[in-house]
Amino acid sequence: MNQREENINAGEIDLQSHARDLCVHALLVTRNELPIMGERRMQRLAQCLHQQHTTGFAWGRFARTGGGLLAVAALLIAAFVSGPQQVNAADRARAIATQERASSDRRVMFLLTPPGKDSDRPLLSGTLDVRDAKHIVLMLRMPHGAEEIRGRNGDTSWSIDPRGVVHTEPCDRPWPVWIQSPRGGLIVDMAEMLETGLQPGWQWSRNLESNLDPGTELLQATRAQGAPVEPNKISVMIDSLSGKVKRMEISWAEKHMPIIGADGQMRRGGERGWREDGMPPPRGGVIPMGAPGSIVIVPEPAITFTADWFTAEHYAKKIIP
Amino acid sequence: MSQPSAQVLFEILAREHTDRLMSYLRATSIDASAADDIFQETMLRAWRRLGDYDHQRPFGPWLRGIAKYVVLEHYRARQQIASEPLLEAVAAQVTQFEGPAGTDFRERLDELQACVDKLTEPYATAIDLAYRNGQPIAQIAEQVKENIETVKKRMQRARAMIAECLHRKGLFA
Repeated sequence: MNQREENINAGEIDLQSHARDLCVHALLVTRNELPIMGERRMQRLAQCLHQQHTTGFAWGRFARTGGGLLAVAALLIAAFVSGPQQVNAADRARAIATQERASSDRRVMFLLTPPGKDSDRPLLSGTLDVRDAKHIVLMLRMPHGAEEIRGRNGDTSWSIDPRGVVHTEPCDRPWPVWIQSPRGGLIVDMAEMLETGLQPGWQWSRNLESNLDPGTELLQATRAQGAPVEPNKISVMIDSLSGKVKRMEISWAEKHMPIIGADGQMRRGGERGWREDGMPPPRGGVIPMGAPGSIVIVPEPAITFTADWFTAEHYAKKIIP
Repeated sequence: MSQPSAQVLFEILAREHTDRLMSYLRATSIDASAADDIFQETMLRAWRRLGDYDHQRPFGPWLRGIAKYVVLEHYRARQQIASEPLLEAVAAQVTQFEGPAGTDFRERLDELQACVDKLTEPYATAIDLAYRNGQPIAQIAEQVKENIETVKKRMQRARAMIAECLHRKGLFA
């Protein structure tokens, strides 16, 4: 190695060690940041997004992998191959539910909007990891940063509360009404909700209107009557080419939403509803049990979970030092 | 579905990637308030350019690609010179640290904490006072009765030990 090569290597080592030092510093700051700071950052971002709400922005393009050719192809297929006259909306929903159910490991992100019309309310977000009906992990993040995790690993159900304490749960412990579908599955599992919408009483419609992104179609299911805490509308945005769900929105009727007033007293609905400010109730656990305003669900890219992914130990060792 | 839902969906993604992006920005030697401003600008640009994002690729590196240009503009506006190779090296470290798609970033940060917990004295106290208590170096120096340069070197040494620990865990290059 000549002197020049040695100098270059020395420079690279110096650069790498400097980068490592900067990264450790940055990660330590991130690790020790108070959750409220992150929440303020997100609130500021939400306000900025709201102020400059981009006209003509197309979320549906998010899932488009190719360029113009793919978009044109998808549009042609949507218009000529699977147009509204040829394919019944309910059949389309059934086919997509089958496709979703066929996939093994899958993760969705979801964002829960509390009941009420105030758009400034805090939002709850989370993820759902699913392998099958008996292997599930739900992680819910509250606006103030607290997390609750609930899972099922075979015949064992468990939860980890925001203090990091692991609890073994009876398998029949009820989930919040915005998690447990009327059929007994999970609402945030897209296949489950599509199949729920195929039950009697639901009406499906299909939209291939020009205001949608190229290669995108919208299926909607509504029902006029149902149990008070069950959703009454399902909207599914689908990639026409692949038949994959891009996003799903599930809504509840306003009149059925249980609300807890600022005084902690329940106004309507069942126990452990939502407070008027969208935060969890003052007592009785972290997760609000009552019907929310809506849930938006977005599938994540393909994922494979490890063998211990659905065990409480996998998460407990992260939470409990 | 109405258009505001797209914003809501983007907020989900932004929430998932906040810690990763902020870690990258903090590592680019920007002061705390500037890092927050650049975070906002990066996210807004990502929002406007979301149609260009390839869904099959991980979101984090795409976001950091946008952030890098915002950082460079930030330095340029202040007539400062940013080292692009350093920004690249930082981005590569953050990418390695965040792991493959589906990895929980908080879990990775817990691994970092495990490395911090292995530090011995006087490094453990220095890191604790600086990062957990958020004390400035001058105050730490006063508290531990050392001069500022000694504390700076101590913290640098402690960070090097943490980096080595992360390297052994495969979280750092």
